[in-house]
Amino acid sequence: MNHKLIPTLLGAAALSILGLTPAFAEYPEKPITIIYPWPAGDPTTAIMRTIGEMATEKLGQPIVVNSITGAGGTKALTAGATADADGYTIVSNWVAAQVGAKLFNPDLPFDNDSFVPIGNVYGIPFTITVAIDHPANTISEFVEWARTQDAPLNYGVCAPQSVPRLIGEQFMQSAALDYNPIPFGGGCGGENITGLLNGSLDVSVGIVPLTNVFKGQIKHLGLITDDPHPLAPDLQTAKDSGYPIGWGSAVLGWGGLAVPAGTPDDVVAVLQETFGEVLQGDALKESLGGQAAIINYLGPDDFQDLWGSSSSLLAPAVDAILMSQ
Amino acid sequence: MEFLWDAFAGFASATGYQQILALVIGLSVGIVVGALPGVGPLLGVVMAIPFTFYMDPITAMALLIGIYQGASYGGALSATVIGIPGTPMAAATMLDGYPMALAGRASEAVTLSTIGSAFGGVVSGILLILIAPELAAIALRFGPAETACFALLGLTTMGALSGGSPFKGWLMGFLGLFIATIGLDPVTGVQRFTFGSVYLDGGVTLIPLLVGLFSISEVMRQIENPVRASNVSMGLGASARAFGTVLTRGINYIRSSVTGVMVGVLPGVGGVTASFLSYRLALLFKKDSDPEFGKGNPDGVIAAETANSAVTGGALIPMLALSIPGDPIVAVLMGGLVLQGVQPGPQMFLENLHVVQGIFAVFILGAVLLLPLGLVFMRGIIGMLRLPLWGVMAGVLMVSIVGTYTVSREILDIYMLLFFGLVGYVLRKGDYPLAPLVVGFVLGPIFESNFRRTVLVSQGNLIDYLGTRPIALSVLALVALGILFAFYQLRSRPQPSRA
Repeated sequence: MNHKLIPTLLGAAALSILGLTPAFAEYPEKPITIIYPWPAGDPTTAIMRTIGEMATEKLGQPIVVNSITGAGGTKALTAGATADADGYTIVSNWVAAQVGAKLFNPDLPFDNDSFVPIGNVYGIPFTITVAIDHPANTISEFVEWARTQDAPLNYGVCAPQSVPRLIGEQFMQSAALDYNPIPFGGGCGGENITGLLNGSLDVSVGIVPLTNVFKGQIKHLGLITDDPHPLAPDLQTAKDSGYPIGWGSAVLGWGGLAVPAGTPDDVVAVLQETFGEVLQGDALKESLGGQAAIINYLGPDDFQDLWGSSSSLLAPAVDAILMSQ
Repeated sequence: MEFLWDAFAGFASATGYQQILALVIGLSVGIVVGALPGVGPLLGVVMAIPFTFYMDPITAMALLIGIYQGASYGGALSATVIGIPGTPMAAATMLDGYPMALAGRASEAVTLSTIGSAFGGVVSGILLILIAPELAAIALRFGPAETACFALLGLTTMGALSGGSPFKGWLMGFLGLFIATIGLDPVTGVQRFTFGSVYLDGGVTLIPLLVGLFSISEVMRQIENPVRASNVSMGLGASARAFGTVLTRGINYIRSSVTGVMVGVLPGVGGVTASFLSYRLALLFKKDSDPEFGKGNPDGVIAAETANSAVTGGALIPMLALSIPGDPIVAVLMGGLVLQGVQPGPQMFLENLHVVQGIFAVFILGAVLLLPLGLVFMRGIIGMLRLPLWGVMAGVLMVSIVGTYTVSREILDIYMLLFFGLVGYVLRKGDYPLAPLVVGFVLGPIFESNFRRTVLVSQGNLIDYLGTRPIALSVLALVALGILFAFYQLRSRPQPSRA
């Protein structure tokens, strides 16, 4: 018999006990859930899963992405705002649910103060989108074309009470165009794009897509932003075209991570540091490849400022729509 | 045609072991729920929805389509062997299947049903693969006006769906339309009938409504008045003689398959009509050597069972290509796709072509697998008919409640489920049909949002605008015919009730 066997085994046993028993009450002790507002098949859900996997490696506990869909993300935020504030529930918040929906419907059981910021994850710019055979190729050309039309523009908005609608209408007003808003489906893809293809709509607010499905059928004339965006660096911005809407980064479709208010500060600090490292790291960019450009990390303070500035910028536009009904 | 080859080429890539496993489980579960009186395909797919939540879209559809196909066939087993149709659409199968069984030809009758179901399924699958992509390509040019008219056409069938009084059918259809208006207005975003509840902002959701109406109410009915399946005869086997009928009665198989697909495409008509229509067609082509219909004529079994299975492929065509589900079962399948983030309709053929091809692949595969599964498990499934139904119902109740909660993790959904269970029970006690309610609930929002978009797009000149849309106008003409037919139905049957 090998004399070294028994001490080796004992040593291994001791090591394994040490390894399996972390220091008492060290966060996290159990799996963490990210409540996510989109279904499992959505492209952004896959991005969130990747982020979750990378944070799992750093935290040593699995992070589960749990889709709670419905009502434009407000169901997910409601679930997040009412979850136990123990750091084991993170919610993926985004502008349309936390700011837009709340302005339209003050009865929603959450507001900006219901959450503590972890960090902003993504920013998707909204676009002016037309069918591929439209004569205009830039925002400037589109505005010139629109001014020659007799009837108001049939302008496809996504949901009736949505942030893309607010942003699109702000642009229409800054360009002094006569428009007829038509709510055309819940998302900014799908039915809005069909509307452009079959001629029901003249123009729609779109998003820069993560896939190339509609290539050759529609074209994005420009971004409704002040600054160019890495997702579509070649597109003209509304500001460059001479019709700035002046809402800065609040006009992006931003979304990030937050925890319910009341979560202990030390736990929040762990999460802010971990996700900050993941979101700024090169590993994430490599693994996302072409989709990496939607990652737009903002630290907790900047993220919280964005919540406030989005609310105050969008509030007058929401009031205008509610008044017009 | 090219698409057909693509679909076959897609079999290998679209269907891994997971999909085939889901399909086999779906078919087996489907055959059992179809055979058990009172459970049926709708209840089967409704209860499976929560399990699909964590699957990929193709696996999810494999499970649901398997149940749909299996249950469309399973009803024939109980109809033939014990003379109680497991599903309403197996009632036509019973007309000749049960007499055959009484005459000692049960094995032959059941084998004929199995072959007919597989045959009808495969033919309808091929037609689905041929027609759906073409229709989707045309539908890409459909605007809100055309979509609204198609939805309206579906709504005019509500009276025909009742089975009994057309008046009750319309009443239930309008109840469904009303329930669908709860929630945020699709154009203005104003809250409607929400009583200030944020929960109701998203509207009444499909799953609690369907599971409540169909599962919970069925459980309550069974507690009150259990169906007993006694004197189950055993000793069945596959009959070699039945296989010969594919050659000798081939025309009947083909005619019944095409009938089934055509009826399936029509919104709101469904398997019961298809099997009786096909049965009546078979009457016209009776062979002199056969026994009378109703006394064990094999052609009767073939016609009924082939047609009601062929309905499945036909019914998927408008759902996949136009996003308009024609009957409650297909509405649930559509709900399953939407849960996966895949919106059926013309866009799906561009955005999620692999899902479309996967659905086609599992559909054909399911129809083929039905034959061996049906024959191998036939004896065991008929044995299951002797299980105490109260045990089955306890399982149905548990799966319904747990499953509904799994989908949304919303406790209010369970209250909603129990509420609709009670509603469904009361309505069924009064002999009010539930299918039109579901059709109204599903098609109502499609009609409403597209109609209102049409009004907005026309910028106040609706009549002029419709004048430029020939397809919409021709569908409207069909709608007018449908309404005329509905009035004719109401007049020709002045007695509003049927026992």
